[in-house]
Amino acid sequence: MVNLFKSFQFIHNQAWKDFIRNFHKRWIIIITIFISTFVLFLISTLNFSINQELQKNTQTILGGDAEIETHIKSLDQEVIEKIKSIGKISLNTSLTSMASNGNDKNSKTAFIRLRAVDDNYPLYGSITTSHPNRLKLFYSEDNHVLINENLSRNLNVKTGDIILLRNHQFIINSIIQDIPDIGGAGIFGDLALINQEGLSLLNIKSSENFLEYEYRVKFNDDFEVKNARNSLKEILIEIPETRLRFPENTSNFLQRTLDNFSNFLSLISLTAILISGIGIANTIIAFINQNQTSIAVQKSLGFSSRMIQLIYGYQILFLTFILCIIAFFISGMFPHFINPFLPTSLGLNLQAVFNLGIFVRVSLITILAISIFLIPALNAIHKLSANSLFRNSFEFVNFNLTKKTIIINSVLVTLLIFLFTWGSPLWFTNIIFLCGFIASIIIFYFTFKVLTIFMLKFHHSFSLSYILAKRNILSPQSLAPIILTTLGMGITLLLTIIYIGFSFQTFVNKGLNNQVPDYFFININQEIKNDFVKKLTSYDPKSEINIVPLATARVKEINGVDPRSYIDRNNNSSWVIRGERRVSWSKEPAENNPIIEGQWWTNNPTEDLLISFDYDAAIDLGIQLEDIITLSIYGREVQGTVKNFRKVDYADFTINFAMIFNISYAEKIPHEFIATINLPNNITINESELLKNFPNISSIKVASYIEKINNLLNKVSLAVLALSLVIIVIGFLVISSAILVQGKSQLYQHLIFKILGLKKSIIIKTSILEFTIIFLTTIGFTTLLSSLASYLILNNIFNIEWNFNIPMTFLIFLVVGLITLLMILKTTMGNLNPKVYPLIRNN
Amino acid sequence: MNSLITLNNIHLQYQNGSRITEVIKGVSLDIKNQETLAIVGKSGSGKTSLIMLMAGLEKTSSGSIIFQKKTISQMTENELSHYRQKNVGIIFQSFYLIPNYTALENVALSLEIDFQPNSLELAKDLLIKLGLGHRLEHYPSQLSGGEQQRVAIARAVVNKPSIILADEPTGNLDDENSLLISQTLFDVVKSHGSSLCLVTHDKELAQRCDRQIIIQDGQLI
Repeated sequence: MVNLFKSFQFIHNQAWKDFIRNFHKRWIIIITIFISTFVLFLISTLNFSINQELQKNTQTILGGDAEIETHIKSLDQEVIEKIKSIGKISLNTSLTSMASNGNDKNSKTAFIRLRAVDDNYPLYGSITTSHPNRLKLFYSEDNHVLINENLSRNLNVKTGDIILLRNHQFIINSIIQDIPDIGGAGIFGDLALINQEGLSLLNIKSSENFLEYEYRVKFNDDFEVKNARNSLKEILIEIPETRLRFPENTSNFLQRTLDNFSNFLSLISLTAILISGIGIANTIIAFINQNQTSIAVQKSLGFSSRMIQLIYGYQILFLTFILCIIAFFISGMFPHFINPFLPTSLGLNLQAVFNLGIFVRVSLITILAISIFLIPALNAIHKLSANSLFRNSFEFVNFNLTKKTIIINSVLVTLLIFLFTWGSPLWFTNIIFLCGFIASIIIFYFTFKVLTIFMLKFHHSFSLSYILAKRNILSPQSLAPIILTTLGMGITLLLTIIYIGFSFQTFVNKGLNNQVPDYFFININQEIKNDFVKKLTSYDPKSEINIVPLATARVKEINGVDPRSYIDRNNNSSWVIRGERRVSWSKEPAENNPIIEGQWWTNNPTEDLLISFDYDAAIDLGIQLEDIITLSIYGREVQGTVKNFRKVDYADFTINFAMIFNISYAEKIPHEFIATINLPNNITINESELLKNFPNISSIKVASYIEKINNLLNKVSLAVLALSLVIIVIGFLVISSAILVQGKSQLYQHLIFKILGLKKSIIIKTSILEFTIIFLTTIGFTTLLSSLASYLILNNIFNIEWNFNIPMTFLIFLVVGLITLLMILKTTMGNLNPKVYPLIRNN
Repeated sequence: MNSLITLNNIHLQYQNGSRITEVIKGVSLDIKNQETLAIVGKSGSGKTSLIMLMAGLEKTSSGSIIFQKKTISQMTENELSHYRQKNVGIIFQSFYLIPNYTALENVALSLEIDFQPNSLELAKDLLIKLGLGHRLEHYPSQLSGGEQQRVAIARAVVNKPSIILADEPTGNLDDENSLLISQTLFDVVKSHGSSLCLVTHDKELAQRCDRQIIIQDGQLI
């Protein structure tokens, strides 16, 4: 025990002395470890802090102790009375509608989410508005409306102004700053709140306007939560269409989204740490090569290889641990500073977080990731012998992968994967990513090998610079593997993200081509249908107007079995069987919906329901031709037979349905209409005028929606790209450390060149050519790998067409290439004029 | 014999802060074509400095060095590179081979710099002549001291320079290797018709030269 302590003390003292002496050589290692570790700490801390805040506010986010969704039907009064015996109940009715500023000169309209609340709203939390003293009027006056900041901006209105909701004038009571139950509200969209009396003013028929009813319940204090929940479940057991949610499920969506996003960012930061590991290992190798004499002297004095390894290893790992502590404390304070940048509507107030669990997990991940690369690097010390002192020669050593090292590293990699994926719902994705990372390293290593073989086979000597560049690339001290791996990994990741983002944007922008309608119109009831079409035609007779009937139906059973009992929520088409679905009917199949299987019905029975089903959804749900589907249409159960499958492309922005019925049967169903219009060029619709004439009809301008989606995509892409750039920056640091540690041998080489009479211009040309060969290889393989990875992701996960972004690819290669080349040239130029005398004198 | 290189009253000073050290103090010297000259002297007497001045690796503080009617002390850096490339071969006590180049690549480098075709073949032929045919693809660390020095000699003479400057070429070698190296050196100098200026402590080696000069405290005596 005493010996062990003495050994530790000795290693610590030696490591400390060495660190102090060589501190100026370690700053790149310090920055590299710190940046990569800090990013992982920051992501973990922010995610933890946001989740903690969401957990704290689950009741406020849900708006009650329980939420009952009844979709398009309201609860019977009898049921409401029963619920009242458990607690307080609040009704929230919502629908989509049009709003306008009512200003004839500068008319503006918006497609909004309109919510009507009762006097009990909110059951938990409070409404914060720009003018709190006016809030009383919101409840007492039926023509007062609260609007969110987005809508205020879009309509250019303020408190006290008038806005038109379906042609009814409402006074803007104030601007919403914060409301509870954000889980159910549009956080970023246009939102307006009125009271239930205000909704009555609008005179909306439920069956024609898809009113959605939600009830929130706050349990009486004298009820135990568990009992109250059971009682509520019992009350609702007779009404199967209802969906009951409790606070713990509420923030699920937000939490899940945040977890997924943070998991993705964590993977990127882990990549940064692993690349740092490669860099650190490379620095250690170079350091060992530079200090061969010192190591040989240490060995001749009786130091074992293990002892020397421990001195260097302890130094790096101790440094990593200290940097982890610093990164942990700095990142812990960050959530507090993020608050001003969060949307106020989220109502989150993040606090500083110093969670020991995060510290242990991230520190272990970092230490493991660095150890994986450090061990084979330190193993190189075994290859050095004290003999070199006698032979006055030195031999460059490299990574030493023995059987033992491979076993130890396999254990460490397994531990790392376990630690990173443990407890994550996305464990499988994480494992795939990490395996992909390891595979990429192997690919880039083989890329170097391919380059080596190619250069060895290719004997043609273009110039002296080429001969020297070739020798540098093939030499054991070559920069090629480090540039290929670090820049290769970084650029591959960056390009993969860029290609995915670009493909998404192309996919969305496809909506802007001519085939896509300019407007969607919803809530067209039967009485005004003809007038409305007439009005649309009046804008330009050449307009293409498409108007189809619309009803709602809910899938109850497929061949007598409730599909929810065997179809998982993660199924791509589970949306078809969950909740109310819009359905339609037509005489002929739509041109953009070709029949894939079965036949369009020739006879059109009035008594039998025939169904044309979305082909992809049918495959996902296991539906076959002639299957019987039981539907609930406005509370009435009917059975229909699947007669054919259609190919539906929901991304074409036209009217599409998962289910289309035979017209003779469906005409009897209560319905409204939905319409689209394609206007000739230069023709616009006066939305305010249309709203005045047809107040119940909502119009959606497709271009503005595409713009909103694009904006959101841009914001997400920007965050991801910023983090990916961290990897590139770390790649630069790793390369600059490799260049720096290469400096001494480069200086020596230049000295020999100088003695032999080589001109400076040839040395510079050699450096440029060497880098060009390596970088061209990097460009080839990164483009290939990133294209393949993004193609697989887009095709298999998102089902979106892959698109290659030439300008961004070019820009990234240009910027990264130039920066790396400049770093290399700067060092080369610095080493161009070696002082002969001290070197000759062995000083 | 014609004069190959002439040193006229050259001085070399190093300045370290306010302290000035004069290493060479007014040396004048003439080396003829195909002449072998030994410079002997104690450590720190200025032998190596003299070699570096002749190689154009150091600039004189004053005085001139004339090589075939050209003053090398006035040459630009590119001209000096050209001068070394075409006319000078240098051999060091510590060999100074490029560690990540093989023996063959180290020797071929001198020819490649001069853009000579078949440089690898020529280098290979010379190494075989010097008994290193079995070591062509070995790195310096895989060679013995004597072998490394033979590679260094091959590198210095392969492009047939007018003058070979050798700084203690046998200083790091045992007697047997010293003999072998000196024999090799004189043989190639003779066969290539080069001049040789060698700095040595080895009296036997010095005696093999046509002429010996002694340097002491930066001056010829």
